[in-house]
Amino acid sequence: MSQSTADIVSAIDVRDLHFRYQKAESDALKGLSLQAHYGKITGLLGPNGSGKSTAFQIISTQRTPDSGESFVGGYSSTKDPRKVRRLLGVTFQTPSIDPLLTVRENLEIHAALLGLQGNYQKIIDEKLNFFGLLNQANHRSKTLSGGMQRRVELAKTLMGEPKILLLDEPTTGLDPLARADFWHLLRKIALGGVGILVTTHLMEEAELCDHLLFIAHGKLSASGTPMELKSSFPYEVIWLESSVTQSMVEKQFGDRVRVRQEGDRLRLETTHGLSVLDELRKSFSEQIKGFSWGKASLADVYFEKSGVKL
Amino acid sequence: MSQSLRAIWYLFYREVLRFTRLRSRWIGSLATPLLFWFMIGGGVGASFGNDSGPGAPGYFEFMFPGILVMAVLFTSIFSTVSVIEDRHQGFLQGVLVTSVPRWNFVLAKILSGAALGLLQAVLLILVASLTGIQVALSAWAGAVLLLFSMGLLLTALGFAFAWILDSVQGFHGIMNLILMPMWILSGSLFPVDRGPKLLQIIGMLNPLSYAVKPLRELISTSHTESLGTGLIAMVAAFALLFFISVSRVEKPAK
Repeated sequence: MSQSTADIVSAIDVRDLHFRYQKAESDALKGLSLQAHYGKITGLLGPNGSGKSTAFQIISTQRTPDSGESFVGGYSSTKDPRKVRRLLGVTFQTPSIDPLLTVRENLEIHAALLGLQGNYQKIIDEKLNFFGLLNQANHRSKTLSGGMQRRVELAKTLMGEPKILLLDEPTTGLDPLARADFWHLLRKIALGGVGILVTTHLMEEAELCDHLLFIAHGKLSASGTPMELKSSFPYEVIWLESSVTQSMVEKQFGDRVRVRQEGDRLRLETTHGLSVLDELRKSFSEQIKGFSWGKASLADVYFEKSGVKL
Repeated sequence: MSQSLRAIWYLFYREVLRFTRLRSRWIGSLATPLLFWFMIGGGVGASFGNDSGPGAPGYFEFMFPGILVMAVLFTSIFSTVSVIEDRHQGFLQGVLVTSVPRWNFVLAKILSGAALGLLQAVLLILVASLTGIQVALSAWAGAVLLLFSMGLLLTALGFAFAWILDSVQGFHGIMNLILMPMWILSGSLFPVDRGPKLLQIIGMLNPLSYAVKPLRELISTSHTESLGTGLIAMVAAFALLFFISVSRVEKPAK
């Protein structure tokens, strides 16, 4: 595909997908539409059972939707599945490398499956180098740490130089260091023009995306950059460290604030942060040991859009 | 086509690597037929004696081709269990999202199961030569063809079930239910054409019967008239099962 077409066509374009599993009582997808673009990391967030994995399976041609369409690089996932598979690199939640084979053997088999021509040992060495796996190349995969195994997974996904990546919770089970490292690599890949659609449950990962899609109950509930989403939240958040109780705050402010206890702190949501703070200081100056005040976090927006009441 | 060839070769190569790395697997599938042979062959032979007159083969020798079939059968079951493992481990999903035609995966599984089964059977023939059962040089080609085509059929049968079953336990249950009677009624343990009418009919419908007869003749007399029939029966049954499996595998899940 030429660069100019790539600019016009979305990497992934999903339109009004409906899907119901056999014997299920309701639809897993209820008109899901979403887009992901080349050169960008698009994060897909949603509670368990919200339809993320079903959407992934349809986009990656593993399932056929009841209605609606999914396009990858302009090709329909149902009508042109082999063209879609050729463009896509997919990493699933469950590992797909063979634990009994060495890292190199795993990559060799995948190269053959992708139909890579010519000397693909060179490509394998490039990937091993890119992912810092050269020293592990001849180790059996099951002897590697979780972080290393995930790197092999990603190396495998990238073997065919896919233009579009589909990653389903790729950092599951990784420690914070390995995770940061993984996201650093993802950014490097996106900078090469690859369109990435990634699911995650972690807000600190969501913050690293260019664009976020929240899905709830089988359809899109919100989308935007992390900043846009945070700004869309109508409340400011005050955290209060004090001996003041929830009922004392409720009595003082009535419905001007939403308050709840979280650990040994009180969490207040309000549209008038500064004036509430002033009033708190006046009324409870003796009891307050510390406070912070700021815009809502991504997690706040996420809970709100998922319809979760805490 | 060259993409398919290479994909099939590498998937085949993977199965062989896995096989050599799971020592327990090849010890198990080689030792079990041997044990059955010495227990049943030795026990039954000694208990009932040899009533076919002097010079005729004893039960120990009679049973040997059946033991080769058993080795092929066990290997094919273990090979296709890996379809379920591949699904659970995620390897299968990794294959299905590539653009490689899916029949490549089916064929590689079946070819590798048949080849590994043949390898086990050949090892058994070599072990058996220590006991005095010699396969004549002129009989080898026919025996190898029969054992390999039998492996194709049995692995294809295993694949057809493994693809629709989700648990290894369930798969073993079903395979025992189908393969054990298939083995017993193939002429491996006793000549089915001398049994009750019902068993005779089942024996006739059982494709394995058509391979056991020429295999026994080849081993005992190094000559058979029914090699062609045996091969055609095996390959036809394999082709049917292969076609069924491919049409299932090509269909995306609903």
